[in-house]
Amino acid sequence: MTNFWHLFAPGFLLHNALWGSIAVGIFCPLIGVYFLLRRMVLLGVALPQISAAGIAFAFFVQGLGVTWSLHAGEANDRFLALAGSIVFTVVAILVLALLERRGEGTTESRIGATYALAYAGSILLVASNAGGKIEMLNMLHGEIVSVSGYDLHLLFFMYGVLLLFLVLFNRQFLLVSFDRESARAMGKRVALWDVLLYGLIGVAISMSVLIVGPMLTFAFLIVPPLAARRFCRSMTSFFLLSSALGGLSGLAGFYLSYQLDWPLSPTDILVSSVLLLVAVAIRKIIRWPVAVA
Amino acid sequence: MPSESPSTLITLRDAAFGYNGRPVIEQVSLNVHAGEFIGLIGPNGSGKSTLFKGILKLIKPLDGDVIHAPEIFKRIGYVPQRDQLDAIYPLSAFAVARMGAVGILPWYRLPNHELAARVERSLERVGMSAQRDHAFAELSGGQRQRVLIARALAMQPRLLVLDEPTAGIDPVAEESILKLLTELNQDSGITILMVSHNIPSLRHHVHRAVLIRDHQVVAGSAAELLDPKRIAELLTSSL
Repeated sequence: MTNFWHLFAPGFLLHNALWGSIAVGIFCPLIGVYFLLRRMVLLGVALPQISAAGIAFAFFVQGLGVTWSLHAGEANDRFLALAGSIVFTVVAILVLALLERRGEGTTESRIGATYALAYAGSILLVASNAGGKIEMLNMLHGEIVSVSGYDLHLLFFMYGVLLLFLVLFNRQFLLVSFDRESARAMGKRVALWDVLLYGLIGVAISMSVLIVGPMLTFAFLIVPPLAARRFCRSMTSFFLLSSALGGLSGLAGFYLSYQLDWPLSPTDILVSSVLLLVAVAIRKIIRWPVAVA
Repeated sequence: MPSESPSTLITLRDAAFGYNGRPVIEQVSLNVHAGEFIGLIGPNGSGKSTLFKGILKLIKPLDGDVIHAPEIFKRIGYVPQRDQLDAIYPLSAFAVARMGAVGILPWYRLPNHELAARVERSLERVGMSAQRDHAFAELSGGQRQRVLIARALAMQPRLLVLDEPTAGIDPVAEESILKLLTELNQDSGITILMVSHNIPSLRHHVHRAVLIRDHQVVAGSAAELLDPKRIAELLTSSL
């Protein structure tokens, strides 16, 4: 059995994958908190899949002969994937939010149909891609062990910028989420703050899907906040504990995956789900006054 | 047509409000003067909430005008129905009350000590200082209502607008909230506009009543309009 600290030794072969897994685990729950509080958990399933469809679409267009030349080789592919992912995710979240606002149909039906379409679309786009290659499938599923130093630095940079926005506008996001009518009565431009929050969520999901794939992104968005909510009495503790549980899931999942030679994403999901079950059990045994809806 | 005076905070001129182009309430002409305590009453489905949203400019008038005096810009303390607020948010009473003070700050301004002190004073004013760290969702209906009033007070409002603040709470808590609102009106000079179903208890507290019937409003003094016979007459004739 490998020593745990070996993971942090200089020259560790999967250094990028380890830090990628932890970073996504720490960051995704910060936006997942809003999914939970705004009761948009279903959207958390659909958006990562839409993001994956965006990646497939970008490569499909490239396969048709449209070329991009901002960077060379692999970096170009990553940039292309990120661009497709961000465009699809941000547009989808804004359209879904607009339909929600207009009250057309039910939320479940809209998101369910969108998820099915995105899932089928990403497979069909890969199948129809004239220049299809195995790396593309890796990107679509977020093959974290292949994360490069460039990807990792881009991930840290993007998460840093997003975190800055989340901290800076935290008060506004909380107010428009908790009590929209009062926010409007206070003179807040609720729609504008919604668009900004959804834009940040869209970019965060796109980055995360590119690194760890849609399924793990969804799990990190939702499961750590679900566990943390049971113990928190303030929004600050909710954000911090969710993030800590996500980071712990990323780290422990990576260690288990490395030891047992299991695939990383399902192992991370398993660990975060176990943490959720432990949280539920602790709350059943020890009761203290925390409102849980 | 109501006449405007320098102390008029809100003016509605032949206003119509509704949804998808269809009016729910029409030809509303009403002035809200500084220092008044107004009760807005009407049967279920009469358009009280629609009128309320129109007065607050949460919906645009389909016809006519809604004019807010400049001094109430960002100084309208809105108190929604407490059941509209989701209990899933892990917020203390203080955190909810604080939203009123930080909500009117521009996004680039950070809350300071003065702001925190103002929130504390607001909680004290409504008698909720002792529960400042309690989870908002776990407070009783009357206590939550008080916290929401504290949140509105933290905005230093000229006008308090309350949507059925006494609905679903016991008579003792209801009377205590109405007493608090009367004190805020008389001692602090805050203008109050509230929707309520409970006409008998409203009669003893408000100056003026606005009754909605047949999708139109009838306004008058509380003594005149909230007289049991008159109310029965008005509501029966609208059926």
